[in-house]
Amino acid sequence: MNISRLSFDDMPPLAIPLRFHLTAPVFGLAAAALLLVEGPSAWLSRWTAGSLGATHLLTLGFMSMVMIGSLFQVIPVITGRSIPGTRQIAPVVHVALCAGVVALTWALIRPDAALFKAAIALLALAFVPFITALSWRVMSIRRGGVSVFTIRLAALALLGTVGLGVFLAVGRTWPEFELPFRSWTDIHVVWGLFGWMPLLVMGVSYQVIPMFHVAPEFDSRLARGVPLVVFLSLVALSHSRSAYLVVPIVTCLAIALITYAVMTLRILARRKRKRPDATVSFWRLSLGALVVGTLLLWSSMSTPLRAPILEQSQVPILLGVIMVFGVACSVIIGMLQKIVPFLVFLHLQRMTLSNLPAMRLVPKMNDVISDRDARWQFRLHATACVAVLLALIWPTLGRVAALALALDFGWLLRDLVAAAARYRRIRQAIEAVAS
Amino acid sequence: MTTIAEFMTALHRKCDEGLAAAEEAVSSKDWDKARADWSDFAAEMALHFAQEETTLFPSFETATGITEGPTSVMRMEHEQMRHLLSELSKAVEARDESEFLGLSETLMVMIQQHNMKEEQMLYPMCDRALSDAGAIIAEIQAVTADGE
Repeated sequence: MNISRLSFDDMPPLAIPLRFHLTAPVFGLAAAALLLVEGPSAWLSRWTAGSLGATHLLTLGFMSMVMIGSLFQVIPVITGRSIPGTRQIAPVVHVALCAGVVALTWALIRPDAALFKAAIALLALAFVPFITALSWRVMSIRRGGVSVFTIRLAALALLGTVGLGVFLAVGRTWPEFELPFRSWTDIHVVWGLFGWMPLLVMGVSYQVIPMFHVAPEFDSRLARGVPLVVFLSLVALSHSRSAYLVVPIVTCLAIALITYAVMTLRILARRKRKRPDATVSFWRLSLGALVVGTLLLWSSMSTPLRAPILEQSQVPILLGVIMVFGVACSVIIGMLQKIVPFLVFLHLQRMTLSNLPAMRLVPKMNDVISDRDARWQFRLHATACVAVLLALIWPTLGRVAALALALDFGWLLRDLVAAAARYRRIRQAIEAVAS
Repeated sequence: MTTIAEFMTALHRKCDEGLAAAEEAVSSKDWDKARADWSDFAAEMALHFAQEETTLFPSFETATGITEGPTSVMRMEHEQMRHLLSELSKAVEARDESEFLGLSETLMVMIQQHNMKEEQMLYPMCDRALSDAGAIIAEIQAVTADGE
């Protein structure tokens, strides 16, 4: 091997992850706007137009948007090699995902076969190249340990979620096929919310929690075993035709997810870095929500859930709210408080590598997003979590919850736009010093 | 037998813990402890840089003939970290908590991305290029903070 030809690190330009990070909160705001317009009806059942639309704005427009953008960044960090064709693929994936989410949301609100067809085509254009390139990289790489192992399973789970989603959209577009719509919807939801999302969170946490919080490493057998059990449980659940098997399978899934949450909370408790840090609060909120959401899934599958304050039709919404908003959005918003300042710093630091005097222009991490702003972000997000739960009990509070969501995503958008503007300004200043 | 990668990675973890301790003391405004922890950590960092710059990097460069590659980037990043360390020392002297915590978060991030490149790329390259890891480790252990 000629080691001089190895790229030392293979970092994509800042514009690649940042375009995903900056558009994601716009879709969060769109979800808030939709819930504001729809009012109380959106909270009554998962099949209402408002509920379906807001769910996909949050899961595809916010959650998957940030996750995909971050994968373009994190894969070269973990494996030393970029996702192949990053510079060509990322802009196409981004535009197709944005347009696809808009088309799908519109089609779910005002069912229209032509719009469904457009959504299928656009989302396929976003996901097929991305999943292919990501899988190629993570399947072919030997380095990266448990993180890469877990991200491989996450990539497969994303494929399962998107594949089932396309299948469902085809069923809506061509009703003459008479697809078993509702049962397949459940499997689609379970692959997304209990597969793709938590598996990616796990894979990333194995890397970032010990590193940024000076915490102990994860136990490698548990760190590998937990995602494997999650993945195999989902495979078994998708193929299970017998109601008797569902309970033991979901029990395995629940034990694995709760083991992960408890293990990670313990590792965070044993971190050496004790300075106040909003990201730690976001992690705790997310992991706590994961325990609650998993217990809810388990109890709703194993016994007919008795939740006297909720209508039976609202239980799946409650599960969705906890997993999407409590688990995924918490960890994503928390991570963005670190990732974006980190990337801004890193790219500017690289520019001043051979020009030490220019380093005084490089901002500190908390000049990009201040600790105070990050703490406010946590308060706004925790408030929004409480507000959406209250809106499930009293749907008349639906519009209040929508406003709380708007504040949460609005604050995030404000911070991210300010960070991008600061990057631009300082980059120009450094270029001016260099020339 | 211990590899160069394992030996050097353990030194990195020790430095991380030193920075975490100083940060905790500053967060709780225990300035006497903060000064002591800070000076321990700063000395640890200076020693680690000296070990790499005077022993490990030259051995790697001699063995491979690569002088403008990874080791040169690492040396430049050491300079940048020295700059941050001196800013942090001023913040400890001035007892400026917010300045210190802002700078230390930045230094932590800088250290982590730097360590990752060393631990995942450079150190394994050293283990492949340098046949006698034991001798190199002994040389590294003999280095003192002033680089002698």
